[in-house]
Amino acid sequence: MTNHKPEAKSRSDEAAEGPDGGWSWPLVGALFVSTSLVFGLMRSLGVFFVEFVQYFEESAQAISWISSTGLAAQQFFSPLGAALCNAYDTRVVVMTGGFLAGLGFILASQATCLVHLYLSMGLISGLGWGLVFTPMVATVVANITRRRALALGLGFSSIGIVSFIFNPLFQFLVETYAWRGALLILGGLSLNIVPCGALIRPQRRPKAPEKVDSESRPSCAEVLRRVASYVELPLLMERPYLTYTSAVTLLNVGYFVPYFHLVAHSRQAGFSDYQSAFVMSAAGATDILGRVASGWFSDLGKFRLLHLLTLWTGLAGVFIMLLPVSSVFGSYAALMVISLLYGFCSGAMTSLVFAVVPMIVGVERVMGALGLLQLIESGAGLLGTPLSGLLKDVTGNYIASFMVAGGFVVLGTLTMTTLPHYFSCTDPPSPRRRSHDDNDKSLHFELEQISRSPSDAGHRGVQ
Amino acid sequence: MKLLWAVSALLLCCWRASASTAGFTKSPLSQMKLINDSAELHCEVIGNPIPEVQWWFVEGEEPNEKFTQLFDGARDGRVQVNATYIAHATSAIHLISLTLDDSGTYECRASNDPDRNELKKTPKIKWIRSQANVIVIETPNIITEPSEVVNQTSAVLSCNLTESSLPIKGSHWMHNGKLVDSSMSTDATPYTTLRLDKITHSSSGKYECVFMTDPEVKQTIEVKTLPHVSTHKHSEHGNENDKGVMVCDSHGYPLPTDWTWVKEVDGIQTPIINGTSDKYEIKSTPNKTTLTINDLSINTDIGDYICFGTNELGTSHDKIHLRVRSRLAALWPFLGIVAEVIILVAIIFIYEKRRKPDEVTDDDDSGAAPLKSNSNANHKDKNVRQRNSN
Repeated sequence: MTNHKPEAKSRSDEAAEGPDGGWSWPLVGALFVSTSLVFGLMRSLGVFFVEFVQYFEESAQAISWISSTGLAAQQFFSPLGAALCNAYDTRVVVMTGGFLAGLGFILASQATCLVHLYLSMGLISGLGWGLVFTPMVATVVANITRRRALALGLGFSSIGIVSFIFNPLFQFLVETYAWRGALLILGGLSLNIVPCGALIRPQRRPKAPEKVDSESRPSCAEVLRRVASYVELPLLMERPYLTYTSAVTLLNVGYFVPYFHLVAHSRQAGFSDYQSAFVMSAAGATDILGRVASGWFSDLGKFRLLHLLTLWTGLAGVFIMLLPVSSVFGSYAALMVISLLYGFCSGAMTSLVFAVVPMIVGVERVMGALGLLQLIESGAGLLGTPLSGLLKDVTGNYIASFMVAGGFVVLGTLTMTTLPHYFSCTDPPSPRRRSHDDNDKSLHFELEQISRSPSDAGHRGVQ
Repeated sequence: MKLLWAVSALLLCCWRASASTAGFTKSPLSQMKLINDSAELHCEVIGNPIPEVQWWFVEGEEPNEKFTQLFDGARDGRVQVNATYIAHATSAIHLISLTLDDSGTYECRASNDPDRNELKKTPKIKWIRSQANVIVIETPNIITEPSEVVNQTSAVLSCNLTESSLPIKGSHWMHNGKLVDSSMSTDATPYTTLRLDKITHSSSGKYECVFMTDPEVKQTIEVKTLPHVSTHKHSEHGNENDKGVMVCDSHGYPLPTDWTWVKEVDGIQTPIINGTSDKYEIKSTPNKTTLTINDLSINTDIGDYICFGTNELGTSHDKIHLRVRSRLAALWPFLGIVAEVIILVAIIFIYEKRRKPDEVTDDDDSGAAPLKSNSNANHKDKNVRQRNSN
C-alpha cells in the first residue's frame, strides 16, 4: 500500500513523462526510424556493391569488406556509445551518432578509391551507428516497462519492412543519380536519425557523487575507475550477465547462417532461382510477423520472458537443423514450411533478446550492459559465417553448415537455462547497482523496496 | 652330365615357348562411304616380341591379286598411318577425300617373325592378315524443295532421296546442328517433309534433312529472314563528362553484315560515322554492335540513338534513349532532406520549450529514463514526502 501513493503522485505530476507515460511511445517511433536507418540501410547496400565492383574494378570480396567494417564498427563502438550516454546526455550522443552516420555517406559519395569507402562508409558511419543503436534500445527499454517486448518488437520490425522499400528505392536512386548522387542522398536520409535522437528527453547525469568535484584533477586510477563504471565493466564479473552474454554469443554464431546460405542451398537442392529467392522473402515476412507477435504475446505476462526466449531460440535452432533435411527430400513445400517457421522463431527471439537484459542486470545498468553485449556478440557474427562457408567448401553441400549452426543455437539455449533462478515460475527481483554512497543503509533499504515496483507492475497481468 | 643336358634343354624350350606368335585382337571393319568423305581402319595385334603392322591395298581376284603397300602420306597425302608399339601393336589408317578409285580391299598384316622380311620366302607364310572392304559410292541426289526460303511467313521443306539403292532406316531434320524432336521418323521412305508454320528470326537458319542410311546422307536448306535487331536496355544512363555505351545485338539468319548508327533529335536523323572525331567509337561484329560516346555533355548528347543492322534481305533497327546525369543533380534532393531534418529538430526543441519552459534544465524532475542516480533522488523525494505526510 505504501508503494501506491508515490505512483499516484507520479501519475498526476508527470503524466506524460513518467515510465510508460504518453511520451514513451513516440520513442518507439524513434526506435523504429533509427533502427531502419541503421540495420535496414546496412542490409540494402547490395545495390551499391554491384556499382562499386564495376567502378573500382575490385573483387566482390574486397567490396564486401565495406559492410563488414560498418557492422564491426557498429558493434565495437557500442560500449563507447553506452559509456558516453552514462557520462553525458543520451540525447546529444544519439544526435551526434546520427550526424556521423550521415557524414560517413556524404564523404563516401566523394570517394576516389576503395580505402576511402572503408574509412567513410565503414568506419565513420559504423561509429555513428554504434553511438545510435545501443543508446536508443536502452532508452526504450528503460522507459517502457509494461509493454517492453512489444515496443522492442515493433521497433525491430522496421528492419524487415524497410528492406522491402529500400531495395527498389536504392535501385532507383542509383539509376537516376549514379552511385555518387545516391550516396549523397543516403547521407541525407541517415541524418534523419538526428530528430529521432532529439525526441529523447534531455537529462544530465552526474555520474560520480558530489564529493569528487572537490578534487581539481582526478588521478589516473580515478579516471579509469570512472570509465570502467561508465562502460559497466564490473558486469563481466557477474555470473548471470556472463552466462547470458555467452548464450547470446553462441546464438549469434548460428543465427545469421540461414540468411547468407539459404538461397544458395535451395538452389543446390535443385529448386529454381525464383523459388529460392521466394523462400527467402517468405522467411523475411514471417520474421516481421514473429517480432511483433512475440512482443505482444510476451507482454501479456502469461509466461516469464526468459522462458519464452528459450522456447523461441530452441525452436529456431531445431528448425535451422531441419532446413537441409527438408530440402534433401526434394520437397519444396517442406522447405517452405520450415523456412516460414524458422523466420517466425528468429523474429520472435530478436524482440525478446534485449527485453530480457533488464531482468538480469537491472534497469539502470541496461545501457552499459547492452553496449558490452553488442561488443562480445560481434565476435560470434564474425566467426559464424566464415565457419559455415568453410564447412560447405569441405563437405560440398550445406547440410553440415546448417547442422552446426543449429547446434550452436541450441547450445546457446541450453546455456540460457543455466541462469540463476531459471526454473522458478516468477521473475526474481532484478538486481540494483551498488550505490557509491554505501553509508546510507536506510536509503539502500528503501531503494530495494522500490526496485521491486517494475517487476510487480509486470506481474499485474498474472493476477 | 646327362641330367644337366636334359635340364638345359627343358629350360631352352621354356624360353622359346615364352615367345608367342602374333595374333589379332582387333581387326579392321568393312565400311561404305560417300565420295569426299573419310574412312578409318583399326588394327591391333599382340605377340611377343611386339609384331610389326603393315597396311596393304588389294586389287584384283585370286590368284592374280595386285598388292600395294600403303605408307603414311601415300596417294598424294590422302593416306595417314598412325602406329604405336607399346605392350602390343596398334595401327590406324586414315583415308581422306575418298574417290571412287579408293574402293577395294584393305589388308592389315602383322608379323613378329625375326626373318619376316626375308626376300627369299613368300610373305604369306610369315605374316598374318586381316582384310576389310571399303566401298566408295556416289553421293545420292537429294532433291530439296524449295532450295531456299527467303522472306516467307511459313513454308514446307521437303527432301527427296533419288538414285540410291541404300536401305533407309529412317530420317530426321536438324536445325542449326540441333535435332528437331518432332521430325524423328523410322519410315523407310526416301521422302521427308518439315513444316514451318511461323517463320521468325528464331526459327531461321540452316535446316538439314538427314536420311539414316549407311552412310548417312543429308542436304541443307537455308531459311533466311530479316535480321532481328534489339537492345537490352531501351534507356541508357551516362554521367556528365564520362562515357556512355550503347549496345545493339542481333539474332537470326543470316547475321547482319553492316551496322550503322544514327542520332535522332526532334525527328532529324544525323548519321554517326566511325573515326571522324574522338567523340564516337563504333565496334561491330555480326552478332552485336557497340557505340561509345566520350565526354558526355548534357546539351548535345541527350537524345535517341538508332542502330541499323543490314543483311542480304534488308535492314531492321532499334532505338535507345540516352540520358545524361548532371553532376549536381543529386544535390537538390539532398538539400531538401537536410532542410527537412533541421525543421524537424527545430519543431521538437520548440515543442519542448513550450511545454516545460522551466524544467528543461531541472535535474530532480527528470521526465523520461530514470536510469541512474537521478532516479534514486526522485524516489527518495517521493518517499520522503510520503513519510512526512504520515
